[in-house]
Amino acid sequence: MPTRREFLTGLALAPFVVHLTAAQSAADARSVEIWQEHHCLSLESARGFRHLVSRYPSATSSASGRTASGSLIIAPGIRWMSLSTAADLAERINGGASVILESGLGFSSRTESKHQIDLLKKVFGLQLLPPVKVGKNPAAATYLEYTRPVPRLVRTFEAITPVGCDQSEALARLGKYSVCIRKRIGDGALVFLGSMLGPGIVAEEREAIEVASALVTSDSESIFNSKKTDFPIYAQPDLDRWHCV
Amino acid sequence: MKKSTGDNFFPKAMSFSAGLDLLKRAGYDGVELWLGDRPWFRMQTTDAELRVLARQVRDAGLEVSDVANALDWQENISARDPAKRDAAVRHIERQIEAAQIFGTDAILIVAGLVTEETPYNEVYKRTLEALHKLAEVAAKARVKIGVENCNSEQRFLLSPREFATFLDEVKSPWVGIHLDVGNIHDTGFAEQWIEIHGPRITRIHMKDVMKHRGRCGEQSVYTNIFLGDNNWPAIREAIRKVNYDGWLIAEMESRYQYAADQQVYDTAAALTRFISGTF
Repeated sequence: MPTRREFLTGLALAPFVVHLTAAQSAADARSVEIWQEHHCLSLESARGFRHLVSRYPSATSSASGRTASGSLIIAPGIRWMSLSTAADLAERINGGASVILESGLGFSSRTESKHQIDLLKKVFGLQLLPPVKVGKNPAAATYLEYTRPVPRLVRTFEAITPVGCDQSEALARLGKYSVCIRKRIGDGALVFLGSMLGPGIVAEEREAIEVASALVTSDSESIFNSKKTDFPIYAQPDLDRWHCV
Repeated sequence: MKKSTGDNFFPKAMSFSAGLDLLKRAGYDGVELWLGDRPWFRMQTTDAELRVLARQVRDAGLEVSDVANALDWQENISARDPAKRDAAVRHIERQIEAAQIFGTDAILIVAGLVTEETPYNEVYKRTLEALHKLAEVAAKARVKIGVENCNSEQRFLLSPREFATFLDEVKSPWVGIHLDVGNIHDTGFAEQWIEIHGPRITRIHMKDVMKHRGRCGEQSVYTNIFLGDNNWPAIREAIRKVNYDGWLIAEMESRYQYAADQQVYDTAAALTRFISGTF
């Protein structure tokens, strides 16, 4: 018998499914599902990712079906994931899906955080540390430094959830912390975002959109093949980019 | 990034060539030339005379970072008086011509002045209309028009998003923002302006501002870099974020009362320190 919270979460997780065509390959359409939770952080982030996915011209809505492999699942602003949902996700990744799991733990209580940290370790092998507030240290902690899949600086969202990883798994860092990583699980891939990216998409933050676009258009292989690139220092602005605000 | 400052920063009575030598000695890479400010660069200055100035700049081991003007406050493209409007278009076109002669690709203008007599909506429409035409001139010359944010003085385009919307409406890659990080007193945070405008920034003006001073906290006063309330580490990080590698142009409003050349050296040192990112 599910708890009330699990029931409500299950309702909120009603899948948003579209077919996304990666920019690089028009023929290689795949489905995108957004497994949101029913709280404002997740809903806000989901809105960002949904908007991003719909920007691709060939994206089409579909009400049905979670494809077993080759699909992308985005779990935005996650704070309350249940064991059964986590197990479902793990099964999908094992079967070849790519999952972007975005932590929404920054504003959670210590107990909630501990529960999620334990759960994500048990199911996905993620070594999360308790969330760290960064908002009070302006310059040093304003931006997360992505080195993959594209080198960009992206605003943090007041708190980060650091994650232990091998160097080869890291996508983004904040000072001494790895904050975003990728991880092979079975035939699929898990991308863990320890700082919320979705609200940056909603806010039209240029670099957040560029990173998120690169993430959603990477399949489970290419996210591993992308080379680490240190942040490029100072190329001249490109006139073609002027209107991307 | 490269360091520059205006020829209007030369100590009073200093000649053009002496001013350039001072800038070079102080460690600047370039100079911002102000149309209508000092005697060597006026509306009546001929092309031949401008070429002489360009050669003097080169001979001093400097570049022209951009061409500004001191005339927009009297003759603005948003003015009701058609004569002033025409004059504004003429001096902006002259800036573009001068930029070509000086071998730089950017000019600075103050576009739109809201006053008690000239209301906001009027200024918005008229400024937009003028910039649509000037953008074509700029495109042909391949010189970018940088519209400066003079937030408090202009009372126009007060938020970064409105400024971005305005530029969207101008809809030309040849019109961007000449961002002054000291001009954003109480209307926001310079680092956020940098983030929002990113690739549309043509040049950056550098100065600091002391906010809410005076007996009633009603005054904001421009001052030397690092002396005011700008969050310089945050500004530095935002510049890095948007990958800006262009000119940083110091614009000092309040001047040393004595040893005026010392301020030129001190400002260069502050710019160097800013670029190094060590705070």
